[in-house]
Amino acid sequence: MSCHGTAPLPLPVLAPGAAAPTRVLLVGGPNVGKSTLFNALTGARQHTTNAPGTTVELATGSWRTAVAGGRPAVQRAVVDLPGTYSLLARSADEQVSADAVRELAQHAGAQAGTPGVVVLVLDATALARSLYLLAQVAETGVPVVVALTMLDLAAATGSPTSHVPPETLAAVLEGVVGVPVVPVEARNRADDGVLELARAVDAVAAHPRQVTDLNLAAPAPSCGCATAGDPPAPAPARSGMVGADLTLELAHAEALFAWVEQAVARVTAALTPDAAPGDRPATSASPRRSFSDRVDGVLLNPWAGIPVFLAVVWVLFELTTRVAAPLIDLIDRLVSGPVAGGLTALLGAVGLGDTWIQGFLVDGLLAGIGTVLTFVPVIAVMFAALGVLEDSGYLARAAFVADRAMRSLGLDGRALLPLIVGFGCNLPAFAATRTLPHARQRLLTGLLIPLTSCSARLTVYILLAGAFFPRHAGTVIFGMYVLSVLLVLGAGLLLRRTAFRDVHAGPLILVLPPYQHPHLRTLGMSVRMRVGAFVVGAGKLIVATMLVVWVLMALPASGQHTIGDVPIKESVYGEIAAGIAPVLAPAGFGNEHAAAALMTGFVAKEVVVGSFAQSFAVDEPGDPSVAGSLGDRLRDTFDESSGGHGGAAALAFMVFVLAYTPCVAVLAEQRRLFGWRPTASALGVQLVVAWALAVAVFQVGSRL
Amino acid sequence: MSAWADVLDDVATRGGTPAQVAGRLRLPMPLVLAVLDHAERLGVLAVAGQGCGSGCPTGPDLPSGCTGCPLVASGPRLGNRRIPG
Repeated sequence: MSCHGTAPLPLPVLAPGAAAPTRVLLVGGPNVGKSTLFNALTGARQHTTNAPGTTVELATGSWRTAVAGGRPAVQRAVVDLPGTYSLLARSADEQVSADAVRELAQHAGAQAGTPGVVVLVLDATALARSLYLLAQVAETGVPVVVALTMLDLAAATGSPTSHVPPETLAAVLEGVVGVPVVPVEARNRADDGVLELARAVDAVAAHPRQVTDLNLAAPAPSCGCATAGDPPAPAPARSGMVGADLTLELAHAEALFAWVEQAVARVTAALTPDAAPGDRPATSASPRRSFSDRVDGVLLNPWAGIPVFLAVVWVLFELTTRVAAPLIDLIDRLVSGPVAGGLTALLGAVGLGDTWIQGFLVDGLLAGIGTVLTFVPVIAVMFAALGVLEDSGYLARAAFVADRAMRSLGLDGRALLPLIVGFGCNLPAFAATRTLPHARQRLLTGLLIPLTSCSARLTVYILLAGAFFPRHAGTVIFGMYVLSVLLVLGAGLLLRRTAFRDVHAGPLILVLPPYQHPHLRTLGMSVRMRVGAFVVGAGKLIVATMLVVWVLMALPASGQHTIGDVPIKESVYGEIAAGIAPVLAPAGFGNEHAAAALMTGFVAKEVVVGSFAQSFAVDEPGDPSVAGSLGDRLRDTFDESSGGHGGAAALAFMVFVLAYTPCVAVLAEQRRLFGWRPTASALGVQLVVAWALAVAVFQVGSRL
Repeated sequence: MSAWADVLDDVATRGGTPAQVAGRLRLPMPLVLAVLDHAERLGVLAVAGQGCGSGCPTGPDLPSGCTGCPLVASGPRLGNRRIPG
């Protein structure tokens, strides 16, 4: 919504010849009693309409007060604006209120005879917050009257305002701020407070008053609009503030809050004359160290925080692998053994045995569903553990500590949050880059996100670590995440010192949530919903991709075989994989199964595991009831392609999966946000880096 | 220094919840909350527990991609008990 030339708010229709009434806007935070006051002022003379150009509803009405001496009643046109805590809007409702105040300030000054007044409805229980809004409204230049509400609640609080009569509080406030302050309890329309409010509004409309000492240091271009002659602003962040605008706003904010603090101090001093001048007022916050303070003393400590975080992550992976890995093996053996055997027998009984239909259903569809089911224990344990960390409030502490570490390396702490999101899934991490104010920062962060090891890659790590390093699987997976962090830091430092020297690092200011005990029932619901969403969402993609893979495996590359009756090596799938496998030979996994699995990883990393399962099932079906596990087959294949160094080859494969391209959904999002060129360049670099790292890991590992 | 500078400096260097900041600086909680709210509106501060800038959902029905995110709402949920302080 533009802040200039905004369409005026709708007003009540007047009788012909009637004088233009004073326009009154009711402004204030949510739940301070604005609407109650509005109803008391207007009675039945009100109706609802939409703010121009929006779907935000506004209540407008006519406020009439009788005048003694037989003169016509005074009429005022009242608008009840949506609640807002600030004129720096962050929602459509707040924008309507902010624009209405600025529009009134422009028109009330420019057009004599159409006076306008803002009645600022302030909460007596939240003095600082109320004065903050008063300062913002007053500096627009609009005439202001304060209506003080929540007086009955203020009496029940322990604040300095609680022990004084409402009239005294209002008088003190008026003396401090310099504009009329009227205590109102609008339940009874005949209450003098409402009549006094009417007198104050009429007086201010005729002779506006200024808020005392409100000479703020810098103008507030709060609308984010560019002035004439300015260069085009880059894509705005949430607030629309960039560069010099932000500097001005920060200076303005400092002056604004200095005024608020001074006003609060003067009110408190007037109401509590025993307080020492210059002291900050006593607060209800306890000065003694609470439990949270003691815990944060460790968790936020720059030296202890990082080791604690690393230890927590290690325990997380140990828990996942030790609890979930045996279940993965069990599910895999069940599906590829009795279930596959039963389905095969059933199809044989109806005359479909040894047909392409059996292959499609058993090696395609059932293998796909089985792969999805093997993820369930992993995802459930991981989500449960992370849910505990989330709910407790710990993860935000980890982010704060990591931010300090990143800034010490010259990296932008504000980029940390999208990167942390990327460890869950790269796709929402790109959405999180919107919090960064500069396009170059967003591009830099967007190039680093694919190096974060998302939860889809975790399924590959669990499979390979469990197969090749069963006693140290958790530690191996932990190592992969440490490597991911090192890659992010390394790439970030390199880019900051080369292509992104113009990007300025800034701190991440993060307000932490309080600690709390996670609730098991809520945690259980959360895990159930997340696992279900993962299984359904990723499951559809995995099953669909594996069916496509099965079709490619069933299509002969030459005319020597029929569809569905072709060895893998001579299928379309096999031909493509055979073309890629030699490139991967120096990394120890130059076999068709691994090459083909990496191809399917372009679609989604979760499919890598399924692709292995499917290619082994189709290539070496044997007797399904005594089939070896997927892990057994992986060990045999990797040992063969690596000359007996299967462990080193498996590590190299995991490193390749970590560093090579993200899935197509992420590539599509990268292209949408940053364009084809950066995306294609990043794609090429990632493939080269992944290959180089994998070769290095295998060549070194096979010699140890 | 003003309340604005004090609060932001304290959060940036020492970290903490609004209550911890108010306690350390001996400032009224409503003033601290007003400063933090204004800073968030200007885009210089993030509040953990409010979801990320994209407006991702909060609550028990988070999508799986949000798992592990420190901006996930860890505020009071159904039945959760807050630890004092």
